[in-house]
Amino acid sequence: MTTLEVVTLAVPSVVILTGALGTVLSKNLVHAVFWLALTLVSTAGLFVRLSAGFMAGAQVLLYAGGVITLMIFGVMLTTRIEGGPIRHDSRNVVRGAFIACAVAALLFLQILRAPLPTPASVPATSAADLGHAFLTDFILPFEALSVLLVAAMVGAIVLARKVDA
Amino acid sequence: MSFLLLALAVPLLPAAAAVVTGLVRGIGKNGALSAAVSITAACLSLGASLWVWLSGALPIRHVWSWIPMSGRTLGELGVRLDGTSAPMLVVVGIVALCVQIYSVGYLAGEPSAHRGRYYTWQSLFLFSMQGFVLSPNLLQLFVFYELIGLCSYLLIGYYHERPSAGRAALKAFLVTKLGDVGFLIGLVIAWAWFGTFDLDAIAVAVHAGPLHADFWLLPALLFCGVASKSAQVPLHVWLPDAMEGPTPVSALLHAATMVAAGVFLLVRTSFLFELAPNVSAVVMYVGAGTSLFAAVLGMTQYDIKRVLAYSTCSQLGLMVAAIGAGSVAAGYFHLVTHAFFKALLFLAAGSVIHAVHTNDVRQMGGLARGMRATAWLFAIGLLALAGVPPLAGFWSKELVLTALSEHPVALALGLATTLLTAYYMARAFLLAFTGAPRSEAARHPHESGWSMLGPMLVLGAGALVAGFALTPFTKLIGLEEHFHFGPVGAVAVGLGLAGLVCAWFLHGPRREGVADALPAPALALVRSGAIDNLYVIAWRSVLLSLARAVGWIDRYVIDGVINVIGYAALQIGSALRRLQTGFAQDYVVALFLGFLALAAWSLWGS
Amino acid sequence: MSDLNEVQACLLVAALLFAIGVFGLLTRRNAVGILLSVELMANAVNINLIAFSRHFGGPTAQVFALFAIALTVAEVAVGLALVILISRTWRTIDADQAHDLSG
Repeated sequence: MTTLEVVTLAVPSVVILTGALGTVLSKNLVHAVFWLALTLVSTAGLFVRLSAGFMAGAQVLLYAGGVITLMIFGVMLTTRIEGGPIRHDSRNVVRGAFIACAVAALLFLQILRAPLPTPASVPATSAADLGHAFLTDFILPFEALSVLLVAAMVGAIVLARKVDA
Repeated sequence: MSFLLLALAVPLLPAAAAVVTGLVRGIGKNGALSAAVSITAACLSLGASLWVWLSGALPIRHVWSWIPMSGRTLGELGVRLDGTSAPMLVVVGIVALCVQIYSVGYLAGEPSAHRGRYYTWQSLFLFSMQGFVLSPNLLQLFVFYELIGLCSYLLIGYYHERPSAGRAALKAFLVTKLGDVGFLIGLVIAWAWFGTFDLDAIAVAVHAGPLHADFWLLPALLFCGVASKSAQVPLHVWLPDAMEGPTPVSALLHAATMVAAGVFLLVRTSFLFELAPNVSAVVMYVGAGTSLFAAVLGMTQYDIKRVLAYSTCSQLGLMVAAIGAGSVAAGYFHLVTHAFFKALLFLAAGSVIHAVHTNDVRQMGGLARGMRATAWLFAIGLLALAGVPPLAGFWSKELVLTALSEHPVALALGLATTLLTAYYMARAFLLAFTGAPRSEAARHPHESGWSMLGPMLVLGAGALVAGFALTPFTKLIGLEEHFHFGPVGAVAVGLGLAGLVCAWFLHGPRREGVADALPAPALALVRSGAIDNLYVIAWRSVLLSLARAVGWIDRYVIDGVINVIGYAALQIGSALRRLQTGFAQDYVVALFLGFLALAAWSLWGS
Repeated sequence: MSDLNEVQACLLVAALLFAIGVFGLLTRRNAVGILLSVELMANAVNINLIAFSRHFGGPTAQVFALFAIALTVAEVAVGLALVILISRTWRTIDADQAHDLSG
């Protein structure tokens, strides 16, 4: 890999991990959501680096747009219900750290042991390719996903509505 | 196929009768109705067995697999009707039918519900015996052997309000179980060696291949079962006590079912004994010894049923001895003739007891005046038992003694038994039926009704002619045994007559009182029941202390372990309960720990 | 870094991201915080998928990643609804307070 390649890989990676740590360590729930947004956006950057442009776009639009907005709404709603700033600290830090380290160690071990050959220069997947795949090979899961999204939407409304109202 | 169905009907009819009388309350509580059902079934069953026997359709053999297991069958149920089992089936049927009809009169004074129960057991008993006789394999033999033991227990304990009857029933059950343990071990050994319980297959195997080095174990263990059921010394102790049951039950037990089962088992497995000469010799000497021992005991008894009981024991000894000496036909023939005259004798004794309400011959005397028919029938049975020609016992006893003729000791024992048998039977007869009445009841005896006399007449006819009718029967069962009257026979007849004469002089009608033939000390020794006391001592010192030790182990070691296990389970449970915190994140921790463990196992394990 | 190719590097980053998500999942008291951690883990999975699509080519891996994103959105919607429900029921969204499943 050239130096440019290493740098373009390392920068988004560092930002991703920083955002992730901020998400899990921040004492303020709203800050945590924004740290997550940082992670998600820089993940989109990594996707660009991996020649998945459409995926980067989807990541920004869906995650950074949709999910983060949803999260903010959620935080605001629950804050209003609780009637005060939300306590947002951690517990069992040692236990969590231990298990997280074990998981990471295991995954590292497996990744480094796996015989992954040097990548052949494969052509990048264009948005047209993706669209074609969605409407041919994956048409059935695609439609099923639409049903799932509708079901999730209905479910969310049913769960969150006020029963008394 | 139709004959197979007929053969199946033989045991299944009494079984159906037992089920109906046992489970249908309206019938079971009604003595007369139960009797009708049971007797009808016994009658039809006898008819079926006669039909099959005389039809010439023998042999019939059919088995159904019962416990199939990888490639072979562990258990089979089947029917094996051949020259050996068919006559036995008929004899069992005749005796059982006679006993059941006789019981109608004998138990007329009993509560209706008790009689209903009685006939249920009778039918079950008949079914068990017939199933036993028809068994083609050792396992089925064992199952029905146990059923017979159970039915004996139930019938001996019929007068359940009498503690002595309960004890006698339990004694019979436990003593026979003692021998059956041997039978059961033999069963396991047979399976281990031959991989089958089928008698024909075992016969083929033992005649074809080299025998196991410890082959003698198998017949020896089987003989344990025979000895307990057929009351061979020292396992004979249950038989006299079994007299606690109603007299017809004693007749059935001692003639055609319980004790006959042991001898029949010996007949069925005789091919094993032939291959183990040492065991056969033991069998012969045990049989001969039993015959003389029981005869001596019989001389001392005043209870008419006990006299008959010891005589049964003694005659069974003769049968066993004959089979041990190698003459299966002789033993089997004697079993069949004995069934007739012993049943007759018991029923006649029952008739007497019914009349004078006592078993003690010292309370009788002069009964022949009031009970002419019973006296005649008892005399016929007595003469047949004594081996007076041409009655049934003569033919079979000659065969038995001829079979023993090559073994001087056994022959001497057998001949002595013949003398004593004639003596003590005549003694009982003379004391009961002749002389002056010795009690108020004996002064006015009344003859029994026809329901009791009828079966006795049938059996009397059997005792008269069974020898003639059945002499060709030794050929009919396919065993080459020819009857010829030799010097042994002459001596035996002479001894039998001598015994009768002795009894006449010692206890004849002119002699008042009930003098004994044995000196007083010997009598005391015999009457005290030396063998019974040996059992009591062994029981108290060995078995009870062993049981106490086992009880202690059970209470403190095994229960302790179990309590610890239970306590540990409780503690572990309440400890594990804390794992269920209700915090979702704790469950996630468990999830990841499991994931890590699985991953580690797939990486480094195996 | 010389013996690492870019796919392996991405996989390692994703593994770290996943582990951080696990940590958050196990330690956050707040139900919304737990949801955020789950998002991190889902994101790690997506990085893996895209890395492999880079390695093997073809649209399949990216299709899967898109499906995963859509599923995550659905999950977040339902999850937030649940959080609101919980907060309304227990007057808190502290996961510690909701332990009615305690044995």
